[in-house]
Amino acid sequence: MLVLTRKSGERIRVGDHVKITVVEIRENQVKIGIEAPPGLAIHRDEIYMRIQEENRMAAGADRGAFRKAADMWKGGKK
Amino acid sequence: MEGREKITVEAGWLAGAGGIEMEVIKVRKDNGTIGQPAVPEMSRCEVNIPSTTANQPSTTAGRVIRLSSRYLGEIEAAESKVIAFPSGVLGFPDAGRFIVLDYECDVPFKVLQSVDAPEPVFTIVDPLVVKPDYRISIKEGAVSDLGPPQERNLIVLVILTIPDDNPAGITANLMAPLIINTVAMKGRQIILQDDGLPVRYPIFGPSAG
Repeated sequence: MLVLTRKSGERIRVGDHVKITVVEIRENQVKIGIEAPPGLAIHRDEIYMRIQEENRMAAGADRGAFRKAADMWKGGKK
Repeated sequence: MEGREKITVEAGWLAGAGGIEMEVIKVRKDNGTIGQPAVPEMSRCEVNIPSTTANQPSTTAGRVIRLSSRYLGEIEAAESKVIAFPSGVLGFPDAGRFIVLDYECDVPFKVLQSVDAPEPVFTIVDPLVVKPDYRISIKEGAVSDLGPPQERNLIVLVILTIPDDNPAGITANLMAPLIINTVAMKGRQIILQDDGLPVRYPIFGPSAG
């Protein structure tokens, strides 16, 4: 991992189109501003990981569970 | 379509958080809000054709592809219904093409099936079916790769998680909906990380799980 030391207000360029600014530094928290092309999705890592994990779980449901859930809907449990 | 409350994603997941000015998308007359029911061509229920009829001459125009689905078995589908996911679905970056298949006409759940391989396969639903007040708002940049604005008809779908041991505990991922442009047949999953939307919204109510 590349590690750079930056002061508040200083920036980092990633490639030609991404600019990262250290906006504010507090004791145990850093505020970071990111400028990037639209369409480039930027996520907090823990949320990204959470959605990945949920997608993997969602894709893992077996056929029996799928059918039961569908039957349950038809049975008017909604 | 009129009179819907507008909920705006303020910042965070999108590059605009850094200060880039972005146009808020306008879909139909929703003032930037999307979340309308799926358009007719996606919601119209058609019986999936079993592939045992594959050798019969096709009477409909367009190419037909054969698929193997964990939920639906061997089936055929029109190639024109294939949706490209250029950036895949999170966790499945290599699955770039999907098709929406019906299960049964009286069940709103549909199957989002990978076209190029039997996996992954997702159960999806129109979010308004499970959460009638579901509203989202997204910035232009989030859907710019789905096609130019004038060639856009966006629909929103959400993925369901069905626990194998407890199908009653089925949940909808309201935080990370799928946005599909039915004109270009392109889609992507977006994360609405600052709206407080749940990853697991229990569709049969909190007690069912």
